[in-house]
Amino acid sequence: MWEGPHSETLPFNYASIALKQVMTSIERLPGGQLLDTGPVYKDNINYFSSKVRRLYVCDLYRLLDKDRRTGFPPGRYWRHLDYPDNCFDAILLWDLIDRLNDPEAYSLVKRCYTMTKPGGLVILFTFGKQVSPVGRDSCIVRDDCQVFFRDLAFSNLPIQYRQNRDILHILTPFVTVKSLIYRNGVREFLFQKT
Amino acid sequence: MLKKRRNDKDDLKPSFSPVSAEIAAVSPPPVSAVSGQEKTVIGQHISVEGVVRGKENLVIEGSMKGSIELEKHQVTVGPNGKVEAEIHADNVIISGRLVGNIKAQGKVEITKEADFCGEIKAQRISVEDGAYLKAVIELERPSDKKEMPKPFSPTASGTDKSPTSASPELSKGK
Repeated sequence: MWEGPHSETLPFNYASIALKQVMTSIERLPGGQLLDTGPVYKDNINYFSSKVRRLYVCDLYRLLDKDRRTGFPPGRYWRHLDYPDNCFDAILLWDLIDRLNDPEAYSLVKRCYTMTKPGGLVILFTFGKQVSPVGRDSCIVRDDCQVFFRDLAFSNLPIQYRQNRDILHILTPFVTVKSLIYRNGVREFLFQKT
Repeated sequence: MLKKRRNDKDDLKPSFSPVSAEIAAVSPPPVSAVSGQEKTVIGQHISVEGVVRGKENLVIEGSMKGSIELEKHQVTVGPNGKVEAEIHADNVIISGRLVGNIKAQGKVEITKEADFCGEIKAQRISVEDGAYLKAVIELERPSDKKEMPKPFSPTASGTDKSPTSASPELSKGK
């Protein structure tokens, strides 16, 4: 549990309830398909690929960072998500929404909505300044949905911290299943496509 | 250039390694006796287009387009390698650029220098942090072994659909 100022003595870790619910739901499916939009970490790939039938990895942190640096038109950012409609049982967005401006965030959510199966889940994290004062943190997952924080080493997407109501508004097409705030300051949101 | 490394057992093993490929280079590919420990290197300034089959390990430092079928051997895409291919091998190591699908009997290793786009079916996978990856990963599970193996389709690259865009399996109802 987080008990002091952010420092190099981290990473701390905690057990993610929302992530556990996602994994419990998708592990039961014989053909479960999970999209991870987060940075490529071996721990995450090892963990998720052992739990789901098909793991899709599309590192939007790195791809969008590259698109921005090269001046790519924002309207074409989501070409990376060239997946069919209604194909994912769950999507891991991590804190990606907080790394996008409002128009980008709304358009990402719209794309996620079309890619998610009816009944499918989307999980979202927000760290806030308490957890990540300079916005250079990302998550890795190990056994039993233990989430650890580490430096976001391969992307320079800036962070903008949002209030809960803003997050919920952006995710409006989805139904909120669960929202949690931990003592360490991490907030987790679990959404479902109806 | 295309290099052939032989070991002392070569002369004792007169088996033949068929190589079917168009070599865009001065030197033709050497075809010779093989053993499990040998490897063929496609050098940095070599381009190969077509189907590669054989019974030894392959290292690609140049360009390759087509398909590679080395079911019981290892394929390595080196840091300078640029490959667009379907790969069917025992183990695959990617340190360069690869667009295509991999079916490995054993392990797929992706190093942090890699740039991979495609689908991986393997028993095990190892990915270094920071690898450039857009992939579909499907690990073989114990229950999979009971199923009849599907024949690997060595479709040459150049199709309209990218591997990742074509790959997701649509909903069959929950």
